[in-house]
Amino acid sequence: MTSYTITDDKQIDDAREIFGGLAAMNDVLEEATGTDNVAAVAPADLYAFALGHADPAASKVEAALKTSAPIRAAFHDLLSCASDFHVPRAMAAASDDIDVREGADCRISIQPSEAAPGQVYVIVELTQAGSRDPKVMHLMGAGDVYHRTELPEFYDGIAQLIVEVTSEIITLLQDPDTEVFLK
Amino acid sequence: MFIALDLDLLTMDDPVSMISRSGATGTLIAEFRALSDATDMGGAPKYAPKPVLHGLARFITGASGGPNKDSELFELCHLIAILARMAPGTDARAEFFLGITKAAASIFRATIHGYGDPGDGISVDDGGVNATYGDGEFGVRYGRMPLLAALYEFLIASDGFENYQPINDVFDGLNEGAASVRDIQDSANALSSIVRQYRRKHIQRSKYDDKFNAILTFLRARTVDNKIHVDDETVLDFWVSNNDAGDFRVYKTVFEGFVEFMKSFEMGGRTDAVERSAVIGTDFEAHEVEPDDQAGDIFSLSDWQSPLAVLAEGAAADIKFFKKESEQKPIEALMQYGPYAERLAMAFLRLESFGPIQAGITNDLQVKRGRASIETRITCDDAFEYRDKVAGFEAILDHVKQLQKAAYHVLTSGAGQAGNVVSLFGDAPETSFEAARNNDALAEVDAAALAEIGAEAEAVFRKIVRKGFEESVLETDDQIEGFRIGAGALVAMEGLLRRYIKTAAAFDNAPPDLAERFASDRATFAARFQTLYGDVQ
Repeated sequence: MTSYTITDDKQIDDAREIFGGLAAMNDVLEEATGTDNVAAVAPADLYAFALGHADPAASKVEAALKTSAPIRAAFHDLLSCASDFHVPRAMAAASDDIDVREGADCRISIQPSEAAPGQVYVIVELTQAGSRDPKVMHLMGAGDVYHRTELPEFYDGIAQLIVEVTSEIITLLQDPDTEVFLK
Repeated sequence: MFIALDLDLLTMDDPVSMISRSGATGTLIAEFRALSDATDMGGAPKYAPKPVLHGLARFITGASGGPNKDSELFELCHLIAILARMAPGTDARAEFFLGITKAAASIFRATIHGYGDPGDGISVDDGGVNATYGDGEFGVRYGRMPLLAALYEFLIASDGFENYQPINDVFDGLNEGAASVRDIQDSANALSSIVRQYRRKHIQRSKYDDKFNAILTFLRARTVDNKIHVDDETVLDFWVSNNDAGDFRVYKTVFEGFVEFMKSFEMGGRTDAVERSAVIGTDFEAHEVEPDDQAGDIFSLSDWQSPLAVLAEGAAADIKFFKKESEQKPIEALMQYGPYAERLAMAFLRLESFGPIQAGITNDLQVKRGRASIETRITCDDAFEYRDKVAGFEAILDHVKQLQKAAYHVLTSGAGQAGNVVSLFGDAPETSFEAARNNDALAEVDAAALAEIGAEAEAVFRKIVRKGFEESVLETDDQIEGFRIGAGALVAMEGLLRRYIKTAAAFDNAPPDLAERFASDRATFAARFQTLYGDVQ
């Protein structure tokens, strides 16, 4: 038999508080391994996505970026710290049809394709010698708009993509509110 | 003496629908699960279930109690201040905490050693990293970093990342250079405030308070003085007499409720002592303590960790000490409840015998298997007899002793292994299996006897044919380390099994014996199951 001497109300209150903590801890540990609960997005998933790593949670992250403002804000912060190049929002006076976006040590331009009229080239130039070649381009538009695309190999500091003129990437690049991060 | 049971009902901001079936919200569960599901680049869990996720759950729920239950925040702030002084790059903090490698002490050690010259005020050694401030110094051990990494991730993602910015602002403040331990404390306090709000919002304390009060009221009604008593019969009586079954419909829930009740009184007493004596900090002259020291003190007294969990992690996990179904499963519950199974030995035996019956009924109801199955189970005819359960423990104890011999062989045979065994088996390495047999003290065991022990241990090792028991392990540091960890766990298992079997034998040797007790309990459980489930379709 185990006996406890009750001394005062504080002893009871302390024990009650610890009991609640222990019971809640057991519940959390048990429920987190159950099959009927879905995991939230983990910061490590966001970070892996920002770095362009293959991550099983990528689709979950991408969906969260389009639905959750706090997750977008956190992702923006992680990108700001981790990305190698940043193209800020364009000046408010810029026209709607921006074909060139510039940031520190990088430049992104859109050029028509003569061979395929419905397509355009997106040319990413790194203007600082010796820069690390980025692998992925993140486009963060106004509101909940987000797009990520893999970048091809860089040659002499230049990589180019060919995309449909109506593609989301072009829409976003031409929107002055879109920020671009290269990582 | 009258004890007022004022319920501390906390305001819940969440809609009721957000509350999971426990007292934690779905948000909390999902955010915890994000970390428990996280994997490293090889697909293995990023965070070890124990001690890391266990420790994180304890922190989130405030289960360690006492005034310094947020001491991990103090450690985390120190670590971030240290990284700010050591780690290069604008995303050093994210890279350190959010990388895709396993969150293990060895990984963090390698990362910190990789930063190169630590600079003024920082020193790095094999145990951890230490920082000197204007008003004191503080060290963070590598072994604590996996928990701190999990805590970092949990904090910045809390409330759907709503807390990301305020928490990041606190950490950025440390980046700008924490000049003093006081700065660190202020940052930790700012985080504590956020955590307190999170706990209030996501943990429905009233649910747990109700459970605690139900047990306390029941116990106080059975006593006339200011003592409350918990024993085997109390647990059974509480379960049987609980008319508004609710949370306590399941015997296992009742057993666990009493275990937590006992722990809470015992930990409460200790946190009282801590409150009187310890202030977190590094002014040792003023009797301040480091958070880690304090946590160790709290957990060592009643936070039993299953030895099976120890065997499932790190280097020991690669060694097949137990076959899952036949050797591990029968002792899982005993190892989980540990000293509390000993103290509530009959209540535990009832749990082992009738718990599976009730789980089967619950499952039948969930999958709508039909009345026939439920009615069969209600009779408890398929319950394990107590003597059979104890005999099962005895068989596994024999296996544990064999494993100890094998471990002894590994730890005394490898090159440079002399002396390893001393730290594992105490001052008398052979006590666990040889001296116990002979009733000898170490001093009386001469060289010839030790040689005989070694030969027997080697023979046992060679006889075991399973993963991790190959001759080649003697040449592999990792596997020797696995046996070193395993040996400690085996000693704990042996002790628990021995004591439990002895207690059960004492029950069996006095009337009513175990067979009579089983027959009586079977009637009690069958009647209770009939009441609970007799009319349920």
